[in-house]
Amino acid sequence: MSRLIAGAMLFAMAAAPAAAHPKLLASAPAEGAAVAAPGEIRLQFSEKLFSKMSGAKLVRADGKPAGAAEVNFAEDGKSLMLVPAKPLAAGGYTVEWYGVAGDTHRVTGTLHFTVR
Amino acid sequence: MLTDPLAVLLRFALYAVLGLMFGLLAFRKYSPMPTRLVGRQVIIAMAALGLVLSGTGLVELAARMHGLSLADVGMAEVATILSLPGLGTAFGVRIAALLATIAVMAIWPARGRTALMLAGVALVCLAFQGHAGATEGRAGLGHLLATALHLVAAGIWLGALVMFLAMSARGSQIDRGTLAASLKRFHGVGTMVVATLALTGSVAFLMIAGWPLPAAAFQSPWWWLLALKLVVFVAMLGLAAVNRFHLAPGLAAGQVHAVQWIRRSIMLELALGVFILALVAWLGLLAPDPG
Repeated sequence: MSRLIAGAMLFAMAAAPAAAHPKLLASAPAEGAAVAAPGEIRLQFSEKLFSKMSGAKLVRADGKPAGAAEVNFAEDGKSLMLVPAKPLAAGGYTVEWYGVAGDTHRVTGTLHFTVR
Repeated sequence: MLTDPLAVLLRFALYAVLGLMFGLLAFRKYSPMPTRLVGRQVIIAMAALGLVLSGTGLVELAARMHGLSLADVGMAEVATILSLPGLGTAFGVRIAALLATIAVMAIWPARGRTALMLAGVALVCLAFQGHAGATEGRAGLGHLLATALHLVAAGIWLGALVMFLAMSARGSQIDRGTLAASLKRFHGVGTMVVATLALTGSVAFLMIAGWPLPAAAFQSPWWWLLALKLVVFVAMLGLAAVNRFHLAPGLAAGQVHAVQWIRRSIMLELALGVFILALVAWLGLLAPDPG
């Protein structure tokens, strides 16, 4: 019995903490960066996202249409890639993203960057 | 902080109804008492209520996860939730188990063990809603197992409290001897229940919070609600101990007001238990990190 208890506790202590709401860990371009027109915008999250309920939209800071962009997910489900159909024109951009992971909590956020 | 009151309410109601249904069926297996106290109509009504709550919960979850209002949820969104591995499957299994519980109780009311198992499956499926469903890989399996056992143990405790309250109620046809025998029979079961709750609760806590404890401990409401849950749990343990070591022996020894005291202490213990269910319904939607 005491072995079972010790085993269960060790198992739990060795496991990585779970159940955090998904968070944006990193992005390329980074928040606030000024870059050459990127071929893709990559968002990396802390949790595996459900692709059917997660996504992102690209909008221009000046309100003009940003053009179409395709949303893809990396195989591990933790990275979301936004691929513009055409090279981005110079100016400010905002990525409006949303994501749901296993804890069922829907999170949303924005990422801003400038194309030189 | 309490952004989804409907989600909390539905989770609470599901824990209460499915936990109690399982606990009442379990009580019939380990306790000597006339079965007329919990007729099959009661179980059928609870399973039906569980179905309604599960259906509502499915629509609510689809709305929450898609970022829609309840009115805007359509079949497509519900189908997306049902197609999710783990969470979606558990929803389907739970609904099937509840339908089967109703069928068994309606057609073969004597099949108490089958109904108990089906009610157990429906209850255990609730483990997928919340933190345990979000843990990945082998750790996820361990977390689910711990949460499932936690739910089963809590259900047994809840069912026993409701039964003891019914048996000690004014006008109850149950004689003192049966009540005393039932309380005595619960001693062993109760010890297992408490041990299971303590162990599986500790495992689930470590898996959610991480070990060593994060520097940001107690910086989100999750920690304070969990601490409150622990305090209430300890208070329930205290009441259970008073019952076991003082009130139940008094009843067996024929003390005059023993039934009255037992009724009061069970009532208080049940109120604390219901409060814990409300805390858990809320806790499962919060994250331990302050971000």
